Amino acid sequence: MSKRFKDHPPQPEMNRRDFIIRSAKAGITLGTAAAIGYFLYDPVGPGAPVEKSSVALPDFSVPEAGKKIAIAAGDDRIKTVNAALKALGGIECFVKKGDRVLIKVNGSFATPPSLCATTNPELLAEVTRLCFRAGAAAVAVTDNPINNPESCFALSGIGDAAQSSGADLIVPRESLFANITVPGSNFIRNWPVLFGAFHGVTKLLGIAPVKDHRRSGATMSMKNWYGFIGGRRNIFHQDIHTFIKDLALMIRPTLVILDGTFAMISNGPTGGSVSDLKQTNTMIVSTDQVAADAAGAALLGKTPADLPYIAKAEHAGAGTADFEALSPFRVSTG
Amino acid sequence: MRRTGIAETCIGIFILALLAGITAWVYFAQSLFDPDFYSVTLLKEGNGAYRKNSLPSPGSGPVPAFLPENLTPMGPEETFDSETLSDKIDGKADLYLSSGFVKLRTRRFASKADPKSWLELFIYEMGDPTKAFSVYSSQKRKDARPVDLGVSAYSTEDAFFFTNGPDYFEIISASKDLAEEMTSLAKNLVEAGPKYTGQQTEASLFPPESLDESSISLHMSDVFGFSALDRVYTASYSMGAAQVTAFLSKRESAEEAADLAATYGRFLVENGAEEAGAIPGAPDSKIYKVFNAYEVVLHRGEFLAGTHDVDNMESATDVASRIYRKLDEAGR
Repeated sequence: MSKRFKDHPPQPEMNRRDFIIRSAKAGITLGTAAAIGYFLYDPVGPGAPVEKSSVALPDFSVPEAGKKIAIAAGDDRIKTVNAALKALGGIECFVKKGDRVLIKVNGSFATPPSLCATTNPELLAEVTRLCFRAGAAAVAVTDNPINNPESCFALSGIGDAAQSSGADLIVPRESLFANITVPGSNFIRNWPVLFGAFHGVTKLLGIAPVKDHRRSGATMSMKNWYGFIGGRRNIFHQDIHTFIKDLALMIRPTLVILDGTFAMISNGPTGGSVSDLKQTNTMIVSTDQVAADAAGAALLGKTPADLPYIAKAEHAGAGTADFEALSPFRVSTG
Repeated sequence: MRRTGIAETCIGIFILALLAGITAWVYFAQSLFDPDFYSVTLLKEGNGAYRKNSLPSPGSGPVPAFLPENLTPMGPEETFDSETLSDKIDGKADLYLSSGFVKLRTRRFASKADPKSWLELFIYEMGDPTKAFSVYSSQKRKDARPVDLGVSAYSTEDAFFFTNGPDYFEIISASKDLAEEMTSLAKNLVEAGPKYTGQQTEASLFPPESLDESSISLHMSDVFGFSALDRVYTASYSMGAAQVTAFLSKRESAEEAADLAATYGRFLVENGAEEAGAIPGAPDSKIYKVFNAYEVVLHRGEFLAGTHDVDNMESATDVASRIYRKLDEAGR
C-alpha cells in the first residue's frame, strides 16, 4: 500500500459531553440566524413612496337629498331617465342655478353606439339639457378612455352629443392629471387622477351602461370611475374588486345614472355584436352608487353577492347594497 | 477533543469576517434604497398620467390587398401585444392572454359610398390553431348563423367571426348596411391567408347523430370548475326535450387520461356527487349523480370524455356510450 493511502492519525473519540456541547452551539447559531432573519423580515417591501397628497377630490353629494334610488321601466331612454329623475324630486333637487356640472361618461372604446359598450349619446344629450334647464352655468363631459380619446369620443357619438347639447368636452391630456391619495384606499396612493377635469366643478354625475365584465363580473356605476384614473391602470385588474371599492371611496357623486335599457350580458366589456345585448328596459338613478349597482346586478342575471366589489364598497362605507332598504321609487313609462 | 490548528482557525476567522462584511454591506445598501428610482422607472414605463395611443389619421397607410373595392381605410393599422392588449379590449384581454395570445392587429375601414358607415377588423394572432379555435368558440353568440367560408365561421346581425389556422378574426360593423362588405372582406381574408387543413380532429370524434355542430367549443382551462381539467372540447346534443353537453379531451397518454378521469371523479364526489354505477359494456366509465343531475366520466385510450350536468340519466348515458363506441372505433 502506498504511503498516501495510509490511515489518518488516530483522532480522539468524541464523548457524549462534547457532542451535546457542539449540538447546542450549532442549535444556538441556527436559532439566532433564524431569529435575526425573522426580526428583519419586511413583509411589505420597499414600495414606491407614498407622498402626502397635495390635492383631494371634493364630496359632490347633496346631503339634504339623502340616499335615494329610482328604477324606471321602459324602452325609451329619454322617457325613463326623465321619469326616474322626476320620482326623485326632479333634477332641480340636485343641480342648482349656477352649478358647474361634470358628467363622467363611459367612453372607453372607439365603438359604435349600437354595441352599447359606451354611454348612449342620446341619453347624455338629454341629461346635459336637463342640467342646463335646472340652471347649470356649465356642463362638461369627460372620460379617460382605454382607446385613443379622440377616436372614442368621435366614434361612440359622445363627442357630438356633448357638443350638440352645449356641453364642453374635456379630452384628457397630461396637464390635467395630478397624483392623489385616497384615504382608506388600498391602491389609489399617490396615483395620477384626471384632477384637472374637476376644476370649478360643483356637481358630478355618472352615466354608465350595464355591462358584463370578464374580470369583475360587471361594470356599472362604480367601475365607471375607472376612467378618472391615469397611468398604467390595467395593473389594478389583478385585484379588481378591491380597486372598484377604492374608486367608490374616491368619488362621492351627486347622482349616478345606470342605463340598463340594453344590458351587455356576454363578451363584456367590449362586446362585439348586438347579439351580446339583452333588452332589459331599465333606467336606474340613485344618489347611492352602491345601491345603484346592487339593483343593476339583476339585469345581468346576477345578485349583488355575485359581485364582490359591492360588498367591499358597502363595507368601506361608500353606500348600501340593500337597495330595497332605500324604498326604491319604481315607475313605468308604459 | 482534537484542538484546531492555526491554519483552520485563520480560515474560520476569515469566513466569519467575510459573512459579517456581507451582512454589513446588505444592511448599508438597504439604507440607501431610493424609492424615487423605482417611481421614475414606472413613470417611464407608462405610469404617467396620460397614455398616448396611436392617433388614426384619415386615409393614412397603404391599402391592404384583401380590402374590397367599396371600402377605404379610416386610418393606419394599430398593433397590440400582451402588454398593451388591455388598452384595446380592457377586461376581455384575460380571455386571450390565458389562451396564448401573441399579437392583435386592428384597422377601421369606411364605406366609400357612405363614410359614416364603417367597420373594424380585428386579427388576433394566437400562435396555433387550437388556441385560435378556443377563443373563437368560447365567445360564440347564441344567435350565430353559420357561414360557409371553408373555415370555422359565423355571423350575427352586425358582425363576422371566424378562425383560420392560428388566427382569430372579428369584423365588427357600426352599420347594418355593411353586410355585403363584411362578407367580401371575410372571404378575401381567408383566400389571402395560408391554407390550413386537418384542424380540430378531436371535434370530429363527437358522434354526429343529434349533434349541434355549431355548438362545438374548446375550453382551455378550469373546465367545469375543475382546475386540472383543460383543453376540453364540448358539444351539445338535442335528445328530445333534453339538452346534453358532451365533452372530449385528448391527453398526452392513456395513463394520463385514466388518472384525470379518476381525479375528476374524486372532485365530483368531494363536491357532493354520488357514484351511480357504470355504462353497460363500458368498463372505463363511471356515472355520478350530482344532486339532481348526472355526469358520466369515461376514458378510452388517450381520450377523456363524458357528459356533463344532464337532467336525466338515460340521456347522459346514451350520449356517453355513443362517444365510448366512437372512441373505441377510432382506437382500432
